[in-house]
Amino acid sequence: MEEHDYILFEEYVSQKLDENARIAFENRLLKDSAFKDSFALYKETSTFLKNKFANQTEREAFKKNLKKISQSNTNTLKTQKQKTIFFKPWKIAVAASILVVFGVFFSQWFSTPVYGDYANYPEISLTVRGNQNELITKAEQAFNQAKYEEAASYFDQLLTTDSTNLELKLYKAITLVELNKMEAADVLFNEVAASTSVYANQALWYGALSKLKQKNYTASIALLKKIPQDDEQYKQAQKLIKKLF
Amino acid sequence: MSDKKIHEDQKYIEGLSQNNSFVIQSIYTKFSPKVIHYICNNSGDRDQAQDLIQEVLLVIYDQAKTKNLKLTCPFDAYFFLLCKRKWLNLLKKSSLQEVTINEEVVSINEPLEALILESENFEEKQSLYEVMFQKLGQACKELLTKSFQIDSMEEVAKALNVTYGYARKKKSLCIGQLTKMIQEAPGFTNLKNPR
Repeated sequence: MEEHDYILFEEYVSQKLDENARIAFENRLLKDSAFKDSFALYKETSTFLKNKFANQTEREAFKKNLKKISQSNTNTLKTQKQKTIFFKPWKIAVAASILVVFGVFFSQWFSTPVYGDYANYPEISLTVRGNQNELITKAEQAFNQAKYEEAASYFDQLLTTDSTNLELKLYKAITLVELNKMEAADVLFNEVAASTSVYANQALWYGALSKLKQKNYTASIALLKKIPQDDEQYKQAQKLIKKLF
Repeated sequence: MSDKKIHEDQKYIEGLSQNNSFVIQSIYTKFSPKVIHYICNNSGDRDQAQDLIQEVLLVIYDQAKTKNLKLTCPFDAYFFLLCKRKWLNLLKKSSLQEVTINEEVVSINEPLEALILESENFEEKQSLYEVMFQKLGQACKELLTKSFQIDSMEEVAKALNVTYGYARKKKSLCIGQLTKMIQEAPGFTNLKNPR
């Protein structure tokens, strides 16, 4: 392709061509296959550059989050492995016997699960939309450092300009549970759980934990039962149902 | 692709694309042990497995962002096969001493195979584009970086201390030069027409 072809490609992509020039361009695309192939590659290259530079902050945030989760996953696996090494079979047998004896005597006292056993949240990394970067970072930091009063205020501010954002609503609801504002939290959990978003099943799980904290076991079981079998929380949900019965 | 049924596991693709920590965590909990086990059984270790998993998830993220990736098969099989093939390629490339491959049987059907080839082709293209971009002259690199970081070309022109007309023309010529270098790169034809 010649220089003027590339200039034409850019004019077409950025919609700077007038009506006649646009029609001529589209006709050439139909007739000239080399022109068509080069234009396709021009667009693909532009998409690559856009992802590389325009979405750079977002992509870096994803990479950072990935690294963090991968690291915590590695640590968990290492800890599990170390535990296996340190405990010899006879120690396990002794420990198991003690647990069985204590379990039989004290099961009545300790059998009811509590919210604190399950309220483990991964560190969040919010999706950047528009020009809210600073506020989003503050919200993430506050949430991840368990400063829930602050986090709630940041989520409120973010939701005033992005009122349909279900991701924010889910995290706000979790924050409200931590602040014991259960009614407001449950309204948000219901809204997110009723949606078709990727957050729906998480809202069911954390909604159930909210009910657990309120000691409303029937409502908690009802929510847990709605978590579908293919969801990653399903097994944990089933275990919790058994404990609550 | 558009007429094929989207698998319900598309939620993992959406979650990755939205950098949703809960979804990423669940991918690690649910799907990474199988990959780690495979790599550890085939001349690798846990750290190598973790690095490879991160690379594969980044490819899926990029593909979801730029190509609107739609999953037509279960995420488990797709993710495992991508990791496995990438690992075997790495072993081949590094020509490590004789390696024993302990096969894990994965039934490969047509949609899965098509998706895997698409993702591998996408990754190869991305790395070729990146290599070629680095070979551009400094002026082009700077102009393209600014052009895609800043929305308005007037602002780009101001930042580079050139006229608006020059900035626009130079942008198209730099992208043009990059496409030409990509087209002329060895292996580009194979990428254009994947196996």
